[in-house]
Amino acid sequence: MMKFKKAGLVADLFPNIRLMQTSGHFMFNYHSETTGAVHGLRVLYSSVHLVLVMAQFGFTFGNLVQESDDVNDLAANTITVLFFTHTLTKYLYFAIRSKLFYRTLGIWNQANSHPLFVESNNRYHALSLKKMRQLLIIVLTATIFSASSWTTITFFGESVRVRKDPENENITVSTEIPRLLIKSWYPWDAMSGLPHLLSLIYQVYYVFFSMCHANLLDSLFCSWLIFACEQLMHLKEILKPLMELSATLDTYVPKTADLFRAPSANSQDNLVDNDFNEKNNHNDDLDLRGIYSTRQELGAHYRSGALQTFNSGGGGIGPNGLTKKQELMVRSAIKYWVERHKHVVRLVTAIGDSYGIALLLHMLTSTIMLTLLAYQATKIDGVNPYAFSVIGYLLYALGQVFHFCIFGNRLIEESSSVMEAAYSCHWYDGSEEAKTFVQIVCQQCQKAMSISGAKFFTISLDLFASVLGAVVTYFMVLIQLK
Amino acid sequence: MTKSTNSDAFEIQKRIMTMTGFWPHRSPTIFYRIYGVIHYGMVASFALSLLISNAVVKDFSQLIQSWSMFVAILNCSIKFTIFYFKMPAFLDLLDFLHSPHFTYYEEEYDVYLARIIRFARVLVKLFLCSGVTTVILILIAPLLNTVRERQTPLPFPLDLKKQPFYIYIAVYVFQCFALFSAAWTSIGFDNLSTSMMGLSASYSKILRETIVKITDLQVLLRNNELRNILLLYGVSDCRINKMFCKCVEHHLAIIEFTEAIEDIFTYVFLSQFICSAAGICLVGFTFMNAAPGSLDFIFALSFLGTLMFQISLYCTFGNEVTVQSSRIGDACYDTEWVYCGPVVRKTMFLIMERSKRPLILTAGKFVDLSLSSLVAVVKSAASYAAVLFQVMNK
Repeated sequence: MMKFKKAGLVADLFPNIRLMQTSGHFMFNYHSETTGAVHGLRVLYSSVHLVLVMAQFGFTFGNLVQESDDVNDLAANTITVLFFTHTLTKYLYFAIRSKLFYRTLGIWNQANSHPLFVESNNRYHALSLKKMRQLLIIVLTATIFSASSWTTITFFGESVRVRKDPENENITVSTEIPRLLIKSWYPWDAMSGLPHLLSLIYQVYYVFFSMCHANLLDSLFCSWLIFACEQLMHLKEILKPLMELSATLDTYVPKTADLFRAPSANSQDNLVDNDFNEKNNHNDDLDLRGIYSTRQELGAHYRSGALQTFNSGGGGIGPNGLTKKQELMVRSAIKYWVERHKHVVRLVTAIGDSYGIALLLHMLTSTIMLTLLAYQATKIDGVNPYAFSVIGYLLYALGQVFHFCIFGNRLIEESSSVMEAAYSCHWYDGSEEAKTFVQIVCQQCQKAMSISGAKFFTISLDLFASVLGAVVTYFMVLIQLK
Repeated sequence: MTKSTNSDAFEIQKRIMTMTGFWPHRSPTIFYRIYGVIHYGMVASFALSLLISNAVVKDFSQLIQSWSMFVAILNCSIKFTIFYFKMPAFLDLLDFLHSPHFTYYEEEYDVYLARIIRFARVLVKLFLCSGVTTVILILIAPLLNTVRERQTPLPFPLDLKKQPFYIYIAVYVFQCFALFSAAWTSIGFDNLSTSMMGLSASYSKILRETIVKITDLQVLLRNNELRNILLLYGVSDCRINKMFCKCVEHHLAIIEFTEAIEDIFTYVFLSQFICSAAGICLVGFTFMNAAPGSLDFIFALSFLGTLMFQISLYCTFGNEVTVQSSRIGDACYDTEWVYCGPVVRKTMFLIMERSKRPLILTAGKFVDLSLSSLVAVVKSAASYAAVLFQVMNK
């Protein structure tokens, strides 16, 4: 048994992963012990959760069929069924496509690094970690609050079913139904006593765990997006020093030595030999002053190879007399930037592949549910549990959509602002190589990286605005028709 | 392992359309021409008879059914008419498919082309089975229905109870032949345009892989004795640039191919879109009106399924063409361009610039063939059906 080592995204998202495993998701990696017996126990644990969740979903659906004669009850029950369809969809989706999720979680295991940019990398990594924790806390708080307010509201109001009297059309008859969180059809009589208590506990567990299943998976997705955005911010920040470094290859830059000093809080060490640098600079002053003034008059830039002959001692490369090591450092810095950017693109593609279809199904369910909620909202006639529950459903559904739309939008904005950062990094002082580098980067970053719901729509605040607009429109139209 | 031939993608469609005389030939025999004209005449007169019977039929549900069938058959005749005018262009396209720009790639990338050819063949067989089953069901239905005497599969302007028996048989046979001919040719025709779109998408994919392979690091290192890979900057520029220029020529060939498809099939797509939207609306309305389990319900369900499948086919393939062509720029970025000099970078920049404008297939320049337009068509058809339902049930 290998001792499991947390690396990359798994280490960052470990609380989220553990919570998902506790709530019963079919995630069996990322444990230290993977013996057959323990693995079997874990599978059993998740299967028990699945059976309980599906059973209650079946009971709720049974109640829907039972009460399908009254339009109002039908609408209300359909909303409840759709609400829990989200959970079931996400639960089953994760179980079926868990390989893609593992692949996305493992994509950042081998990140490249460069000594000059380590500090910036660490800073942004810490920032993304902080944001991910904050998101998890917020999502958990919201889930606990929703579950407890649902439980509380059950104990207000009358727990009755209202029907028209078969003999007389004008009189309504109310029959007593069990006071439970969700109206369900049970094969046992849950009116009072021990069955009632057990059913209540079952339903409290069901509501809380269902919400957790859906929300934890959504927050995993959003945490990935936070990570990608912070990486893009890191890349934008190091573009300027990268340009300055690249300029040293074939343009005269004063104080070249400073550029090779890694920015760090406590140490003032140079990365490359101090003496050698000073000797080179000394050489510059002695031998090349005359040549530089000529070059400045001509205003020409020379390629690295041509200048080899001008340097007398030390064999420095370029007009700044760089050592071989310094030249390698510059070229590796450019390579680091491009490789890191390609890595981020790979991560975003993997996120889109793993979660795209789940988003499509979520939006389909949400659209139908919000339409029905708009209809229900027209029947609010006062401050009563009915009003609170309708508004609660509305806010929860819109909140879920807002949750991933806002992070999807941030990804789009960050990835398209890389182009602006590339333009504003003093490329005009740079070498030919630097200019063509900026050219290709600008070209690639014009197309923003976005997450799409299986190519049908893009996740952005536009989507949220259209959903909100549609709900308001339906509500207005239905109010008019009443 | 030999490479697949791209004409395999529409071989079945060619056989289907030759059977009803619609496949274009450069110099067809007189017999073939007359055969094609007869088929076309049958379909056109069938559409006309449905139109006349729409004015005569009294029963409301039959009227809606007849209107939806008329829309479908009208769609077929319009498509065939448009294609007739585009035949020379289509023949040029078939010749263009033999150009070396479609056979340059390495054998390892042939798998993409083979995959799309296999998929196109499976699709046409599936479509054929379901289409033939539906047509046979429609044609047999009057024989099983003992309520009304002398009923034809689809409405006909004459009241057949008053006519002699042989006229009834003649009308029945005419409707059988015309419906079969229309359905058969239509199946081959729809799958023809979609398999062309599939070919374009797979060629874009092959080009992407070829571009990424150009700057294969192993090859670069082998050809240069530099031990440190970072000093490879600009060393193999001439050779790499030549390979990129060849890729540009292949890219241009793909663009020409896709634009030819657009030119030939664009009004066909438009007619398909409009008729599908109208058909979905009418059939959806029938669906809502009919009692579950009755013959009308089953007919409406199967017809709805066929229409939805047809339009989804076009939109999915069109979307695929757009997506694959926009990824060619991404392929350029995925190469090891860091090791290439300014000559190569400039060429790459221009390739990326062109790929920023992806290849979009349109329906008569009104609508793009994409998944979002599919959603829009279905949404608008559903809302028209709902409005019709409200109006009729006041």
